[in-house]
Amino acid sequence: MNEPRDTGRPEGSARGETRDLASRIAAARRDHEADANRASGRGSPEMTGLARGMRIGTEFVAAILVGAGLGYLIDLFAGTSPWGLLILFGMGFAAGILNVIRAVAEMNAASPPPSNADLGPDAEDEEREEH
Amino acid sequence: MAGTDPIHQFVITDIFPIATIGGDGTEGSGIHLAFTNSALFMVATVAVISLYLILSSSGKRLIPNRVQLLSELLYEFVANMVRSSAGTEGMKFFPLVFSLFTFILIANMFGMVPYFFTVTSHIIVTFALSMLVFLTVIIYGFVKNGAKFLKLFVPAGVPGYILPIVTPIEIISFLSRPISLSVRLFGNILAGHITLKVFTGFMVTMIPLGFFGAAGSILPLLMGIALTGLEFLVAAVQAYVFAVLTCMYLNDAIHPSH
Repeated sequence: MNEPRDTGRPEGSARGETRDLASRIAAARRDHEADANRASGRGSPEMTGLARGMRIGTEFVAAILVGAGLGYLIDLFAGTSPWGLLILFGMGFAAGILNVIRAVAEMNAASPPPSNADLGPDAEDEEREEH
Repeated sequence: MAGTDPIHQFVITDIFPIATIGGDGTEGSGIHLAFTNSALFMVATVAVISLYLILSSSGKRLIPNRVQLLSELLYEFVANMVRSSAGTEGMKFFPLVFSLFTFILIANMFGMVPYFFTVTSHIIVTFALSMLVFLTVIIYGFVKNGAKFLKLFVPAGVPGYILPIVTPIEIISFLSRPISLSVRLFGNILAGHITLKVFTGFMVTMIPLGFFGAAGSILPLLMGIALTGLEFLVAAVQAYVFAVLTCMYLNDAIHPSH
């Protein structure tokens, strides 16, 4: 137990050097990763905000249109106006929300945060408490 | 003001008539078939893609030249997309996805050339493309999985008493796919082309208004240049999004469990 501390002086400095080197490597890797993420974010078309927004918007609106259309057709053939339209409009709304949740979950899965990302003060505090 | 009318670019005109089905021979009765400007640009799109791919791959060089490299990159790009979204099993749909992707991409790029007609700015065209995908998914899903394909509408792990509510929602969500697929492509292209025309049309109306009008017309010009760049991006991105979603929907047909 004590032995390494006795001959500690040169080893300690070596260890300090290693630690310094490790931290520098980690920092460089972090920068590199951030760069790579940025580049892939710009290069990957799915990542553009416009495409993302249009995707979510149309997913939502299309489900409502389909629901309302189905309801209208049911009313037309079954003569249950306006209940089919009302109920299926609501269901279309629910389906739209479902579509949006699926699309966003897909987008989140496609671009997970980098392992050392700053997820805000709370996330960091939790991590410190665990240690 | 036909010159600055932003909608005028989407008018379909006959190039030569083919036939009229039914009707009583008077003008405007029956189903009129004609080779339109839309059809011309669809043919041109397919011709350009086919000629390019055939000519570029005819050399079959082991070390590709630039032309062959581009088509190899295109192949690799779509193949990776299909593999990552639909798995290796999805590769049997590679021809479909590749055709859709290149058709939409080249049709959108044709639309960026001034005075050219944009095929994808008509919802009937994009709707036909998305119905092709939708029907492929349904037919292949039932042929391959039989009644198990209906599991798509019954999410796993949902208690039985909620199923009467969840299943109709899943069905509506499924039916909304071709609508959202076609409306997204059509909407992006239509809106982009109208915006471009409106902003550059400002220049046409501002320049005759004297010195300040002419000097001020630099602003819509800058906007037009920026929008042109954006439209090229949108043209490529929408082709990509259409192809990626096609792969995901095909994945549902191949592996129907949610």
